[in-house]
Amino acid sequence: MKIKNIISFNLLIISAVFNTACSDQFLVDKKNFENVNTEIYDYYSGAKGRVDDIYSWILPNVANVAWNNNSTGMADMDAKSTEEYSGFSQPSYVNPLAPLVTNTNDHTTVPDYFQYQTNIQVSVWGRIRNCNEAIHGIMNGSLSQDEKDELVGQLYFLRAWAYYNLVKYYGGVPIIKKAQDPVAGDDLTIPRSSAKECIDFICEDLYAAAIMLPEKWDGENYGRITKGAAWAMIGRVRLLHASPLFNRADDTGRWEIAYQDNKKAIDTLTYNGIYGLAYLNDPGINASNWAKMFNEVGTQNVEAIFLTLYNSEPTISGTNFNKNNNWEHDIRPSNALGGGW
Amino acid sequence: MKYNNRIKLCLSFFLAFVINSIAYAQNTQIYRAVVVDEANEPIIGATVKVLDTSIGIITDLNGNFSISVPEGKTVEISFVGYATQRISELKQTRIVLKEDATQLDEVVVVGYGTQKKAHLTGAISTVPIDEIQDLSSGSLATTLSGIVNGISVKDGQARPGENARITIRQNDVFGEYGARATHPLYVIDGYIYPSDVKVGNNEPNLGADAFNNLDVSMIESISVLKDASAAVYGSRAANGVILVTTKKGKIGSPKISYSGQIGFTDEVSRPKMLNAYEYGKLWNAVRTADPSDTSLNTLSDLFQADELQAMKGLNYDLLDKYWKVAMTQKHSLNLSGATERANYFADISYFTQDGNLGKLDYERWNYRAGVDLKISKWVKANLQISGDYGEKNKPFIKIGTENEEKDYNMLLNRPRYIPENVGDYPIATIGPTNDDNMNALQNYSFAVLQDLGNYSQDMTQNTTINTGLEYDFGWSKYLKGLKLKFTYSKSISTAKNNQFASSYEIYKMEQRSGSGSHLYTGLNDEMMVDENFKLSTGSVITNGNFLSRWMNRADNYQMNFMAIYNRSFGLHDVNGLFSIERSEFESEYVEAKRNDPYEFTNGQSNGTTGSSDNKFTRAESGSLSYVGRANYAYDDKYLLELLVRIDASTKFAPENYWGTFPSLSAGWIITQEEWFKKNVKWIDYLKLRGSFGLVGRDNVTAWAWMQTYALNQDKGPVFGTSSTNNSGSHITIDNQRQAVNRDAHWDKNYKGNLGLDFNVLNNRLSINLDTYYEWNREIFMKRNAEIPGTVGSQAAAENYGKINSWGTELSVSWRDKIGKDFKYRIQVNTGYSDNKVILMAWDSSMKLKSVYPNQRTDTGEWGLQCIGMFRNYQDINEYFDKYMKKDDGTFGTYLGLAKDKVHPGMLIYKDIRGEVKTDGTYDPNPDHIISNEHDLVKMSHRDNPYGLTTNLSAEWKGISLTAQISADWGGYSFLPGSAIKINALSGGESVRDKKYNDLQYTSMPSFWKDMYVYENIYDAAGNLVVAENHSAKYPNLRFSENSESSTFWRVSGTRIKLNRITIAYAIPKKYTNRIGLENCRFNVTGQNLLSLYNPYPDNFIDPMTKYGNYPTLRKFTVGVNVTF
Repeated sequence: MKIKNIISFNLLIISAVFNTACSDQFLVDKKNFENVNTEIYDYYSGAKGRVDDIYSWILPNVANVAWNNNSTGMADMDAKSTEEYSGFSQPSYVNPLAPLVTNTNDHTTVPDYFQYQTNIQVSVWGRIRNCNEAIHGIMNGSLSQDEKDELVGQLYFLRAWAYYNLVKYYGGVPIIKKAQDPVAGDDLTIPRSSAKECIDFICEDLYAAAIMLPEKWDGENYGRITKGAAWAMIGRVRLLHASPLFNRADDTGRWEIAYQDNKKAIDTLTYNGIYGLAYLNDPGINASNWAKMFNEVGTQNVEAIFLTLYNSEPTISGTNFNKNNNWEHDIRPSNALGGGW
Repeated sequence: MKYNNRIKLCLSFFLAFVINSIAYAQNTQIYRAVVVDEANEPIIGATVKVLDTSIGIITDLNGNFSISVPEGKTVEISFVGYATQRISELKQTRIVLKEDATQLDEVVVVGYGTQKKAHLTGAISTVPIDEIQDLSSGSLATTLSGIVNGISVKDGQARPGENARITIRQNDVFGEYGARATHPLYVIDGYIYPSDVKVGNNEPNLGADAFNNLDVSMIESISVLKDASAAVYGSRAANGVILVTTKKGKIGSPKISYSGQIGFTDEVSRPKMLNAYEYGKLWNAVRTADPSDTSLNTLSDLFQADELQAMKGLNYDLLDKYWKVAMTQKHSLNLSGATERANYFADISYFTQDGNLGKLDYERWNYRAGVDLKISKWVKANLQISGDYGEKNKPFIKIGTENEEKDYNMLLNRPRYIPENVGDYPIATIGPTNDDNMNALQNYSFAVLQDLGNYSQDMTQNTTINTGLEYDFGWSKYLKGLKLKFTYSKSISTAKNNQFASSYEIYKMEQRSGSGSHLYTGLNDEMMVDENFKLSTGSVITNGNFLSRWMNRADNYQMNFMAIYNRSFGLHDVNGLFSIERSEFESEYVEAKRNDPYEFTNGQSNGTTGSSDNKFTRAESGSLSYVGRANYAYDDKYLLELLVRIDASTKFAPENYWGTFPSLSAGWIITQEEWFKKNVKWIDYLKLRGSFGLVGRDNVTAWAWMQTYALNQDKGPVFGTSSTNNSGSHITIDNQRQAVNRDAHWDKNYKGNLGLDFNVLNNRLSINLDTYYEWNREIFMKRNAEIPGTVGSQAAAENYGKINSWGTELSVSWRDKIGKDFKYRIQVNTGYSDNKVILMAWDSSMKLKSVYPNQRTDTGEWGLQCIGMFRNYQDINEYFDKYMKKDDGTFGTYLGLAKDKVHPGMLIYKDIRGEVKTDGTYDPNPDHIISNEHDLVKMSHRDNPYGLTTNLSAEWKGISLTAQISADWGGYSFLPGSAIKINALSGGESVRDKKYNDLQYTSMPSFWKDMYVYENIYDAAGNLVVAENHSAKYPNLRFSENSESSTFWRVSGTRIKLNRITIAYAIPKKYTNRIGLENCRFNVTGQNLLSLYNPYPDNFIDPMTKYGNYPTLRKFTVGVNVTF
């Protein structure tokens, strides 16, 4: 072999080695096995897992009455009256100087909804961040449009629900429509919107949800948000906005909108007879049929529109299958499936 | 490209070079001579080479050699520590080699190659291997302490198998600010061990592990890169780099050498504790100290006079019972040799260190074998395989929380009147009130756990393979000096851990002896009936009660393609290197756990009855780098070095993969200048050097840039119409995953260094001075809440922190001879370092102790200023009247206590200033309130800033002595927290509100026998049990106010230690030669010998040890080195 040939042969080899060594494709191929990443949004099960996660943080948890859940069943004004009335009856709602309370279990004072700021799962802004993140993820994922609608519709509702609670306490709040990069120095400060803008934003979300969501879910998905629930929520939001709590000038236009939207809600809900008044003319002995409304699920219960479900799984150490409403169980008499006498 | 193809490629690459080799022959002449040193002793093993050929040989046992030299060639004779000589006229038959004090021809390993020591421009230190070869250690890092200026070594001196940790310059300070990477980078035989990888649940530093596992007998050299010369390792170099080269064979006949070491290890000191009687009195004095406590029952709560009398004769010192002197030994065997064409070596080494307490030990095997082949004149290949196998046995203790120090701590702290057993019943540590529910630790029993055999066993196995192929273009007129090199190294590490944890029964006694029923001795028959013994806490004590096993495997390879250029053109020396480096890492981990093992369990999963748990995970990462180095030297006078490394890492977002790390350094050897030589005769050597460069600190967790989600099983919402539908799975963003910063990248560390090397007085005095300044920028740090709450998450960590650090290192060494035979050397290493924080996440409300902008990271020690002790109520009245009376006539509080709660036996603190004001400053006027928030003074500015290590060595006719003494001073120390308050045992707090009750199961250090007692204490029968002690030195332990950090507990920070001494004797060659030995040497070595200054009261602990922890071990070993 001549020297020249040797050199060219060598060069060939060298360049081959060089090419393999220099390619950085192997870097890009490395994966994170410890966690899943945004790829989950390309799969229905993954996207649904995110939606379910947000349900689990955002649904009112009546088993544990706390600052982040609406009062239910407590002997307080929230439970005993309409929302606007309870707002007036508790001076701190309408008195800007009354301090908000960080930890309230009795719900006789107005809770500070801004607590646990740094906990994405618990804080209200964290829940909104979760909604924004999942909406963005699903929209940019590769699911079919029908699947996207079904999932994103639920998220729009849940985001509206979080804003509805904020607006009820604070009036206008900043409207955050996308998950911001939590990196200091960027312009993260969003100015506060007016109450009306917030109400409109909430209703936009709910209109979108109403369009995307089905009238009813199959048995396994019972409990998810429906088209009717979205409309019902619109009615509730419009009514709150028309109430004296927000409508001090008593603008009749708001009442008109509230009326129209609530009427639309009833029409939607009762269309096909999916929803209606339960046991309308059949309250049973001692209204026992009406009491069933808190136990019955599925087609039997035509009155449950927006609900948090619990199960009867026992608490076993090492498992987390159970989700029990202990509070309800404790106060119910035993003949009504409760733990009391 | 597939793996197979890659192999084929390498093979053809290799063949291509083999074909190029050429052989030839010439006329020769035989040259015979003897090589001796200045003392006329023959030098054995000196290398004799014919320059520009491959001919070489070494001198025999009498220093003779005979070599055939081709016409016109020059012979070069070299030996370590001697100046190399070249002989061109082959007539001289006696060649005298001169000792080379400066060792300027010495070659130092630097990143990706070697360099002449004289040509170094960076701050690179080398470890003198012969100074550490006699030291016994399971962790190589411990042997380096005090030997290399600018590095500090922590830990590794106590429990067998515990690893030490090296810090170069000040890189440990970043750990306090959330930095993950504080270890230096370890490079062994050119292979960069992964340091930033995930294996199972841990992020082990595989490099530090590999380094600590090395056996010193296999090491040729260790270099430490302290400054920007580390930039050749780029993104991982900010903490400095430690380079290790292992031994190769030397030209000549094969050699076998054995080195063995056997010795024992024992505690440096044991904390002095109260004896049984003193403890009894202490308890009585503490229990009665609060006059407002009306719950006192003098019969049941106090030790009675007869009991105290009996306690004078009791001494159940369990630590003394179980502590034993342990053996340690090491044996290593090295085989090596080399011919012109092949260089081969193989080593095996075994190290073992027994524990001093129960079933605790460590043993390790090391092996290494390899060969370097010169296939033809221009082609070289090498292959080496090395590895280690280690086994560490530890007790498993999970009484309360899991903590391996509990065994020593509980044995030390157990009050000495409580026996370990009564009859057949093991007895819990239950004190005067017979309360068994104060702390889970009361139920710890060393003996029971030893008998049950609860253990944790770690087994590790590491294998590394290094291969290389080199082609030299020396045959070409133009390409001469160019070499191409391909290396491939791979390491496989596996680790396994087995744990066995069970449960046991331990007892308390209902009725005990003594008039107050407090003693476990002198029991009558009624007390010995079984009914008198009840289970402590009423139930079985669980020490975890499970079997578990985990295993992992980590693989990493590094592939380099290198082009090296090295050529001299007249006075110009040019040196260059370019390399592409690629590495990939992967690890897998599996663990399994079963609860509730049978008593007769075989240790396997079928030997249990309980629930099971298992898990397996995987991690992978990769990096690609381009490395460049260029050196230029002119006439050995002007030196210049340029380094660049470009790194890519999969830790970051793809757009942030790449980082560039350049450095530039220059040197000037002034003594090479003709004008200097002429004018300044007294300076033998003077070099100035400086370097500046940018390196990275690998501070970011892999994948932290990416939004990830946790898969949560269950616990989610319930859907569906069945009431038994599970609470479903969901995919969540939890608090660890919420704050993602896509821009995360390496920290930047700019290193500047100026150095001076200086030899005078005929090279006897040499001085090395290095001074450095480092600008740490873009430090990846957490932010405090600096983003609006509406974002909905915590602020992400960012690359924004700024810390500057600087320091000076000075090493002075003096070497000389007295007479013909006595040689000695004294080397002193010292230095000073400091730093300041320019930007970090400041505390949201600044406290006195907080780090302020432009202040040192070490904020010193803050505490109350103690101005005495209240010895009676008059003292208290005077103090309150004088200092604590407010303008309105009322008294302020003393650490939250109103005046009527303040009692004699408490320390008096000074009211320094008022409360913090709204602007963050403190009211400078005393506010008549003593507070541990705002009355603090700076008791110590920082840890000892000054230090000095002296290494001595002397040799006389084969007898040699080496020693190391170190001192540091300038700061203050404080008595350990657990020695000055009750309730500081490892493992948590008492469940009782009255904290003094923790004294019932915790003894205290001996100095507490001089504790303040307000009035005489009488037992139920009216006997005096403790006399009043108003002049006591120590306040009453009852009051937790006394254990506030304060100047009262401050002691000198000065430490002077004799770290080690080795005395060795080498049998003169004329005797060893007769019996066929080349070399035979014996040594006696002591390590961690003495603290020459002890600032602690009653010397209750030695400054080398930590109170309550397994002590630093003093080791004495006898060693032998034999070479055949």
